[in-house]
Amino acid sequence: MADITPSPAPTQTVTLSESSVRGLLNPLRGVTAAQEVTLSDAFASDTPDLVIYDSGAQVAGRYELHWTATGTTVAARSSLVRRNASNSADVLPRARIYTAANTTKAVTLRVTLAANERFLIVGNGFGGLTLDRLRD
Amino acid sequence: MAVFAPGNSTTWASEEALTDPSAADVAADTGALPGGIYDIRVLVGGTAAAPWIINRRNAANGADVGDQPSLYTAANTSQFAQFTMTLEANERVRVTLGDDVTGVVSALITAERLV
Repeated sequence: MADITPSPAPTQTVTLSESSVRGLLNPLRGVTAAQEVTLSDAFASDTPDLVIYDSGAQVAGRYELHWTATGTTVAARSSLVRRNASNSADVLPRARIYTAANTTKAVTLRVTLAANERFLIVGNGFGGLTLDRLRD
Repeated sequence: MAVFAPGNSTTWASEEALTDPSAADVAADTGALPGGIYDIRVLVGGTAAAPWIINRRNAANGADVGDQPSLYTAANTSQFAQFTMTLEANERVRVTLGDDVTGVVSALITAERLV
C-alpha cells in the first residue's frame, strides 16, 4: 500500500485594490497628505479683507477642509477664497462665515482643486484651515 | 456617515454677498447635476437674521421636489448643515431666502455624488 503524503495546505493571496478598500474606510483614513492647522494671530477689525491664512499652492485632487472662524470679542466675518494657480484671481465666489461676538464657528467642506490652486482666508477675525488631500 | 466614492468631483456653488435680498432670491444654486445620491453641505449666514430654504428642484428648474427644509440664522451668525439627498438626472439644489432681509447675507452649497 502506497504511503499517502498530505498535500500542503493551499496558499491563497488575496489582493484588495485601493478602491475596494476605500469604500470601507471613512474619508479621513483616505487622506494622503495633511497640513497642520495654521491659526493666524492676525486680527484687524478695520480691514476685513486682510489675508489671515494662505494654504500655499496645492497639488490637484480632492480635498476635505476644516475651516474655523473666530471673531473674538466682536462680531466678525471670515471669507474662504479659492485662488487660481497664479494666485491672481478667485476661482469661485467666496464663502463666508459670520460669527457673533465671543463665538467660533467650524465647518467641514469638500472641494476638488486643479493643480497649484490654493485657499486663502480673509477676514477680520482669527481663522484657520486644515486641508487634507483625499485618495482617488 | 456617508461613504464617498473615489473620483467624484465636488460641485461648489456660492454667493459671497447679497445685499438686502428679497424673499425667494436665489443665494446659491448647484446647477443641473447628474442623477445619484449626494452628500450636500450648506453654509448660510449674514449680518441680519435670515430664514433660508433648501430647494430640491426638478430637471426643468420649474418646480420644487419634495419637502423644502428651512434654516434660520440670527444676526452675525452662520449655520452649517449636512445631509444626503437623492437627485434624479438634471435636478439641482438651491438655497433661497425665506423672507426679505435688510443686510448682507452669504450662502454656499457643496454637492458630491456618493453613488
